[in-house]
Amino acid sequence: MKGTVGGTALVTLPFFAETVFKKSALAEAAQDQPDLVEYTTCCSCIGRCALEVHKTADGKPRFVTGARGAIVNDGGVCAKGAAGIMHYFSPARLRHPLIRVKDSARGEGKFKRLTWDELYKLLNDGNSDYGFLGLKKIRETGPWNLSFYGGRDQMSTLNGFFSAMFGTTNYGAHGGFCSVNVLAGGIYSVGGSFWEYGAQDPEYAKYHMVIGLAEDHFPNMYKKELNIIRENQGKVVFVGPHKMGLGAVADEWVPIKVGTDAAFFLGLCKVLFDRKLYDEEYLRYYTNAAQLVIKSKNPDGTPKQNHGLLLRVKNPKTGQWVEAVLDKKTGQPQAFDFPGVEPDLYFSGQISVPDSPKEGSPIATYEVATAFTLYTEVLKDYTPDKAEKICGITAGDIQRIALEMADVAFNQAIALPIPWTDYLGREHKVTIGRPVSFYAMRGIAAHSNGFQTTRALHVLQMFLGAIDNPGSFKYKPPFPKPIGGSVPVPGANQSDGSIGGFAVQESIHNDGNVETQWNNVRYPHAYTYVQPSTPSGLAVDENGRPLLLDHAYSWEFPFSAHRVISAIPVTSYKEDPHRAECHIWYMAQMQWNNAYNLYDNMKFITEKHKDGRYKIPFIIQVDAFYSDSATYSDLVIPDTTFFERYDALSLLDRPISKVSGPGDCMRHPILPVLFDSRPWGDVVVTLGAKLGLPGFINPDSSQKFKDYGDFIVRWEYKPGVGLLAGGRGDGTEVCHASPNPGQLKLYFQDKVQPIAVTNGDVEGNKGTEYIGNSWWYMELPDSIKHYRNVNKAYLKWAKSMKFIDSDRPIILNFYSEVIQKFNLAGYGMWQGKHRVSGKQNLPPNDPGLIKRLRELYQPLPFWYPPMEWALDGADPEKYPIAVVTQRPMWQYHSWQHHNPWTRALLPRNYAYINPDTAKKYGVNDLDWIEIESRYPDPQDKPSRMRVQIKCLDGTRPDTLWTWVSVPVRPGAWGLDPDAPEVRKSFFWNWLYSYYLPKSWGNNLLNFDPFSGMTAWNDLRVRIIGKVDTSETYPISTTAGSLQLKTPKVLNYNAYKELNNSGLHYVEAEKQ
Amino acid sequence: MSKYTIVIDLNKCYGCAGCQVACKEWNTSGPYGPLPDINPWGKDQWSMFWLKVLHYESGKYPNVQETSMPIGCMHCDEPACVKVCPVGATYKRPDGIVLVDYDDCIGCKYCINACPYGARVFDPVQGITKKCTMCVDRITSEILPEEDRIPACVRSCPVHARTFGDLDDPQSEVSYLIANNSSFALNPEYGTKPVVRYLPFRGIDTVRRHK
Repeated sequence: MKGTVGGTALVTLPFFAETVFKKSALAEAAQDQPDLVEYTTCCSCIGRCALEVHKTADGKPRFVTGARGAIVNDGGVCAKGAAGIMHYFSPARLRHPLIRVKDSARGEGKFKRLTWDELYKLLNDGNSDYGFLGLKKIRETGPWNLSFYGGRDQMSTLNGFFSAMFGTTNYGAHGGFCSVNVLAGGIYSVGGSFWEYGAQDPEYAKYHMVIGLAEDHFPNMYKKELNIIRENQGKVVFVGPHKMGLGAVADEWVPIKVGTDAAFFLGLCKVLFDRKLYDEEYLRYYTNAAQLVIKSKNPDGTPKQNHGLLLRVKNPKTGQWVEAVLDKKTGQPQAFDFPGVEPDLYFSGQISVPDSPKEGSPIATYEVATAFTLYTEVLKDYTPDKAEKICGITAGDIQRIALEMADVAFNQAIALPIPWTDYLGREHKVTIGRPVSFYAMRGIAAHSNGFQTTRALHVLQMFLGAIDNPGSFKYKPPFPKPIGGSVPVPGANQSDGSIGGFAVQESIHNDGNVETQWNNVRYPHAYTYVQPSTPSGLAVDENGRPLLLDHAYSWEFPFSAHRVISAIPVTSYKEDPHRAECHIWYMAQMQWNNAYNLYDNMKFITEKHKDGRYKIPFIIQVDAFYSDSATYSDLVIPDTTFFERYDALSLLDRPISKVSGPGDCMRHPILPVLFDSRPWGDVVVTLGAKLGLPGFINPDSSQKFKDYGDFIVRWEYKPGVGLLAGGRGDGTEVCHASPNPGQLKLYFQDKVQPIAVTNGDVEGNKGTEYIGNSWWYMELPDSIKHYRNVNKAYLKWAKSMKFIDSDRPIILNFYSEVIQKFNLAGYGMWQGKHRVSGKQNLPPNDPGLIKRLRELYQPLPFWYPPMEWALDGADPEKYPIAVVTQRPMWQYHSWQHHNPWTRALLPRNYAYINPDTAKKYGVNDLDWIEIESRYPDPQDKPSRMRVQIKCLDGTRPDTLWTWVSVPVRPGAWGLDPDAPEVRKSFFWNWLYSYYLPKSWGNNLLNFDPFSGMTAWNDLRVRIIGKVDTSETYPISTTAGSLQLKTPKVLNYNAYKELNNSGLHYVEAEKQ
Repeated sequence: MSKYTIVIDLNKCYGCAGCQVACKEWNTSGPYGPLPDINPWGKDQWSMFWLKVLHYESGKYPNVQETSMPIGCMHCDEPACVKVCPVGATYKRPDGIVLVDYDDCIGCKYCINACPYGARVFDPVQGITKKCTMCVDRITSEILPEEDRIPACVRSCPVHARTFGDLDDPQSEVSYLIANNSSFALNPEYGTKPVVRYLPFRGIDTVRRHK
């Protein structure tokens, strides 16, 4: 069957002449023989567990379990993974390509079948019946009018490469509505983050704090590691407004008030600060806390043009113009990276230095203070008493927790006999560990103060000296990485049509003048995921308006590290800044649970333009299933499940690296393709070739890659760097070496093979790679395992592996000068230039945007109330209940409702409420209640919903929560329209507000003002009271269902004919 | 002789139900399967599971404990189900495993009423009672690799909260776990002498907090 995976039309014909599975008599006879076993990577969530799949002799799945020894899950599998058999056989699977019947309206769910040849022709040529120009014409007339977004971070490297070669700047994945605040806040603070980017070090951790975690990024690995910490007598503390889920097995629950976590972290910092319980050495040498900040304000308190910028001097050794510290040895300012320097953490006073690096530059005197000293002022607002008033955790608990952390970090420090040398050349005989770690996600991310909250958490880690050493939070390679990259801009396309952008270089003088230079760059330097470091690097026009469709890297969301997926529906509707001719949504549910407001999203895509076409003329949905959103699409492209396709979970994207070394994994087709579906990766490499995109064709214009598996092996991001890092070159080389035609064989061998690594710029032992069972991992040598952001040997090695471009140290941003540049811009004081006009980079015209630059863009983290909670918004006095979601362990988004083995575990959800709160509102357990948010519904009244409550003591009294993504649109996912998923289940997507309250500006999107992250958890409601109903409200209009009738009895036995198991439709569809 | 058991550590269990579904997927294709699903995509779904993870809460906010409790057949030493079976279809093997002979079962459901743990399930398709077999086909298999001759629920648990072994072997892991921890059997007062054991939640925090 593997031969049928190729993406061209030719191979499908003979495939359909046979049945999928051989006659089961063969299999039954073979019941006493061993099953066939193959290994792949799960995709039932984003946890990337390695799977061991047992198959019968005729190729049917018989048992799915975890692969033993795998670095992610070591043999374990959760309910979602174990139910994989029914994921594969689901009746909700798309059977073939679908095109909306042309006289029907979007949302009616009327489709007809297309052949794959017809599909490719339609994509290329368009069709005037639908007002679809076709990708060829779109590419010729304005490739940025194609918007291509993924709802999950799958295939992101391939999809991103396709977009780049197509020439559209409007590409992104799901980070913008997931937890990008934590990612962006982390990258801008410490050059890394949690999940794929960093985690606890379970081997040595003694204290671990879990904060607002969602149940999807490595759930099995994470649970296993929490248990290891607890087995080692470590303590696990869970911070969140409800306890169920990961909090269940925690040693302590901190029931924090929603949206206030920054105040809690800063309260802890204040206790540590007052008692001098912080790691002074760590702060001085490895963070910028000892760097000198220029203080330069006008009498009215407004900043002068150099206020808040870091003082710079020339490094006498390198000649580079770099940030300065006050050298305790000499009492003079010195370059932070000058060998022998001894930074003073507490200096405050006047310093005379040259204005600029130019020869003969005049010397001026500056009022400066270290960043650490400046933080004294900020922390005054977070005494435990003051923090308690904000976050609801008692001052006593805040003090106790801070002291517990300090006790573990300093009195129970780890000392490993591993010598290492830092960037200053200081040799350390032992490696000191501060075994306190944190892990954070959606609970702090999904707020309009989430970026600054994440900054506060990282500053707390810096106080404890607990970043990248034994037992602390540690990076997962290829992280740490410095911020940077070049934003792509429409119209900067290369001659071959691929995207282009510009790189900024600037030199900041102590008087606040800035020299700015731009260079045009192309892919991969211009890419859609970057981190601008200056207002001069924004993708804005001369008037400060956004250039990108999602307003990424604009004044609105300058640090949108994963783009702003949730903006696409609304900005496309408003044609701001330009029209989107076509949306491609890959594994996204924009007309369902990914909709920031479902009423609005349905309006956006059903309203017509004055040219008679829809405002968004053509919508393409790519999915394996007939999902809730498919019905609102014009073209539905059927993907396969993960059992049937290649995939790479790459260091270029979202790898499975561990804190002790890089790792990645992949999938390959281990079950036959069902129906007339095709792996999306194969479709992309074929479509890219048909469109003639550079990178997808040979010099003679023929298709370059046979299928996605071929792409995975041969494609290079840059020379020597491909999708998979293991077994490169002759098999003993990793990360940066030539492609190895035998690479996949190494990945899929049925045992894990240790191989001594032969490349990499490191002295002595180069480490060992482990490869097989679909995954790869490299254990780093001890000398480059710790303090990696400042470890000279690691930085050199990482540069040789192409993880980083330079081996300069990645000094942690205790103080964010980048944020301060934007603050200055809010006052019109930033002296950097705009790349087009060459004039001073003007601040935005919008007073709302100016307000947030001035008030929220503070270089030292602080807490502010979520923007939606303003007096003219969801004022907590009027809307006293905070509303949040939590991901259940048994389901991942909508992917389990069509699976009887997991839907049985959670067929519906409830609104969980504290029993005392229920009493206060006169409602009882299992009552249906009505709630109301401030955002208007289509009748312009405050949106209302009906939900059934369940009383749960593990819930804060001012909070209502539910399991996320349980409801199903009637007719979707192969479910009965009267199923409990449809009639009883609900989500809050009817209530969210697309816009901020007017006091924060006119029609500004209700996203985090730094990263563009959707502020899901800022939602507040009021409880109207009990209602007499037995159904939720609203229930969406019915999706036309295309599915066959589903069987009444499922009796699966892998050794029997599918017809005898109730799965008659699988083979029937083949005939 | 053997006395097979499973020890379940509640200090490790998050209630993910990996065991529950692994049990179903292994056994539905096994000699004691299938485990049917009625109205699998319909309004009133019913699915057969031999092992279920129950979730309950104790305490008052904010001093609350959430517990996940996997419950299946306890393979009792004095199984109530065996005593009430009118046709002798349910029996306890010398190695301790309680099984049903499907050829003899008449579907009278007496055993379902008698079992204090709700471990037995009626199969409306076949008209007989089914239950956990402790994956007898796995543990006695001569085909599976030796390390896999353990029940599917134990094999698949992502946090290794479940341990399978022989209580008659004093050197076994299960004997050690039971001897060295405050293990307990569920509802011993019913007198069925359950063999499956639990290790309790052992949180280290005892902080009581005012609201």
